[in-house]
Amino acid sequence: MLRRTILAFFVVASATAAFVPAEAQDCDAAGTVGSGGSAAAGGTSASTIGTAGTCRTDDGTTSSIGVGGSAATSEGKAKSQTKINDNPSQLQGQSKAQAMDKGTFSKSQTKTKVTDDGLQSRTKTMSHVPGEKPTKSKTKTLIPLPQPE
Amino acid sequence: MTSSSFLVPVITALFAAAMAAPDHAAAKEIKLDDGSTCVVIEPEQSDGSRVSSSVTVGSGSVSSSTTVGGGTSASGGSATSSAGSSVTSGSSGGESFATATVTRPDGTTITRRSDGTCAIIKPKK
Repeated sequence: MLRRTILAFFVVASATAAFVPAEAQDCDAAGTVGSGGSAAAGGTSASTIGTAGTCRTDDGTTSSIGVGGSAATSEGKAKSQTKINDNPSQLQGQSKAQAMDKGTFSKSQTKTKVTDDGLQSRTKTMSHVPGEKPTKSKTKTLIPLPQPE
Repeated sequence: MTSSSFLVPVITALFAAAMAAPDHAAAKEIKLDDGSTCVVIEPEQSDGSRVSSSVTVGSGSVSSSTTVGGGTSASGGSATSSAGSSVTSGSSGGESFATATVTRPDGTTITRRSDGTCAIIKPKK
């Protein structure tokens, strides 16, 4: 009887251990950042966005970044570009969007980056109609990360 | 970001020519610059826009761009353009990894991983 009980306990314990997911490692330092903006004038509009996140653990650091943009115009030309550079010192993304219709235009630009010091994202927008004052805006978000001891 | 060199050398895949052409086949293999291939699951519809995408994994870059309209007589109507990119990189347990994704205006995502594999996923119509 005792042997059967021990065997049953072992089977249950083994099954439980098999289905327990690996515990996620906590981040020693972590942060997220993001910014975005849009501009519109006449029949043109443009918008961009950028987000990033990072998690530092004893085993290393994982960072991710995403950027996007779009532009539209009722007449004329629309252009959008994104680019991300990944190098040892930083992960940096940039998104540009611009819509033009003769002298009327809207444009937006977002730059987002992750460095060892922290995360940063900033967006600039501008729109203009000929004969009118241009409309501009700027946003900037900075998230510093604690430095490892 | 945190690792200076990945296990896999820099792999650059230029999809512009292959992806811009209309494709009516059910599935198609695209050969990349490094000799590897990606299988396109869904046929692509040509929307007439000029699209270029490049994906680099391993101390490199990800970029995408779209330009619609312009020209002398082609810009007779509305135009919309969109582009998107994302990168995840890091190291864990002494091993480095990276994943780079470009999202094209039609919703297609092209993903390259630092182990050399790639995936092209097209949205449902």
